[in-house]
Amino acid sequence: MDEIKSKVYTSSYKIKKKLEYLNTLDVVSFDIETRSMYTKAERNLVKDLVKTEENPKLKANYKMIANSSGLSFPTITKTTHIIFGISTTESMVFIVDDKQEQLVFDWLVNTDTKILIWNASFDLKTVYVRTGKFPKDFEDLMIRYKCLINDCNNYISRSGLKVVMANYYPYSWTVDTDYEVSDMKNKNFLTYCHYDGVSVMKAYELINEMVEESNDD
Amino acid sequence: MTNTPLDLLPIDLPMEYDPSVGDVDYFYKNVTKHLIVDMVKLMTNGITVDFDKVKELEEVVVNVLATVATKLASNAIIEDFNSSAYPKKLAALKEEFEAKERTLDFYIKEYKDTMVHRTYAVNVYLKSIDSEHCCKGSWSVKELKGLNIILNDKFITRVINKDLTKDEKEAGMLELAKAKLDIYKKSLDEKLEKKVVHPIVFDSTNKEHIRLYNIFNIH
Repeated sequence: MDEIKSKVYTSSYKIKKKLEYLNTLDVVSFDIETRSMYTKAERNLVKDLVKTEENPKLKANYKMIANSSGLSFPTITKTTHIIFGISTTESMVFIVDDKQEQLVFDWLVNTDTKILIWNASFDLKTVYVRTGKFPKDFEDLMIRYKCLINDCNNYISRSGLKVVMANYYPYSWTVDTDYEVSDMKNKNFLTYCHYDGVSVMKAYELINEMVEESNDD
Repeated sequence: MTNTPLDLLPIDLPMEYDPSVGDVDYFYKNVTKHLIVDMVKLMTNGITVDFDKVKELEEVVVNVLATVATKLASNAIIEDFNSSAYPKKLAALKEEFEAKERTLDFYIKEYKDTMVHRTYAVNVYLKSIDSEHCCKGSWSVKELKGLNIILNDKFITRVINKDLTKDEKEAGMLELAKAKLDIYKKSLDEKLEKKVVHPIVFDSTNKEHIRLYNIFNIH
């Protein structure tokens, strides 16, 4: 197993500097970790209100808050970590607040560097809601992979990142992940973020090899 | 690489032309990749639904389905069933159920001082003296004794002493017979409803119907 080469940045200055560095690269992978903008305590409080509220409109709103998570619509989520994989073994993790998130997303939609994403429908949705734009040059590797292996039996052509890349990284990466860590610098979570970033770079490499081999046959 | 997937059109049939030969990435590069942006926009914006157009379309669908039903109803096989087999089946079913019908006499029995018989006799009496609100599902002798402390009624006393007149007994038993007949008729109607044969009407959502029409090659 390769050594983990992941660096974590939290200050706006460092993030700006690193974005300048990323501009010099040809290709990077991009991923985000999000959580609901409502805390667990707030959601639990609203869960009780759902049971007693009789006004249907208010009840619907309470339900939306009570069931919100990092996978909810971006207007009610907060981005906590932004991950860039810069090679198959190296990654950068930015722990961001709202301003830093906007800074990174603005860079993302203006850079000429190719952005690799596994399942753009989630990550780019957040980017689009925050900036109204898309990256200039991006690839959705999940859709590309799905196009290559598609099968009428969906089980055979499963294309989740962990399913595809499980053999290349530690087992712990694929299971038991708490997406709502209270400590943003939680070591296990940062390791998880690292593997999310580098595995997409590895997948890019493998898919390119697969395409070249298939085209040569 | 094309600008949009539409630029690929017209394209030969897949059985005649496979564009991915020599470039397995063809479909991703030329079709799906272009759709990602629209897909994400759709997910964030939703689709605007023109409800007037939906209503117009609904009317068209209803009209088309009506013509489909008319056309299928005029099919020789369906017509044959609806004009000959269907009335025969319906008549046979009616005959079967008519034979099962019962009259009030079937249920009229002799009065015995059981809880059920007593209850019907007392309830009929209570209704006759405008005291329907006092009617109960069952009247035990003990309860009647309790009631009679308040009412001090001659009829109730006769019930307690098992000394009803013939007319009083018959009135109670007639009411009981009516109730039993009602229950029987209701259950018979329910059975008939389940067994009744309806004329064949095309249901576009019914898998069995679609299969049947396919078997007979009806279009």
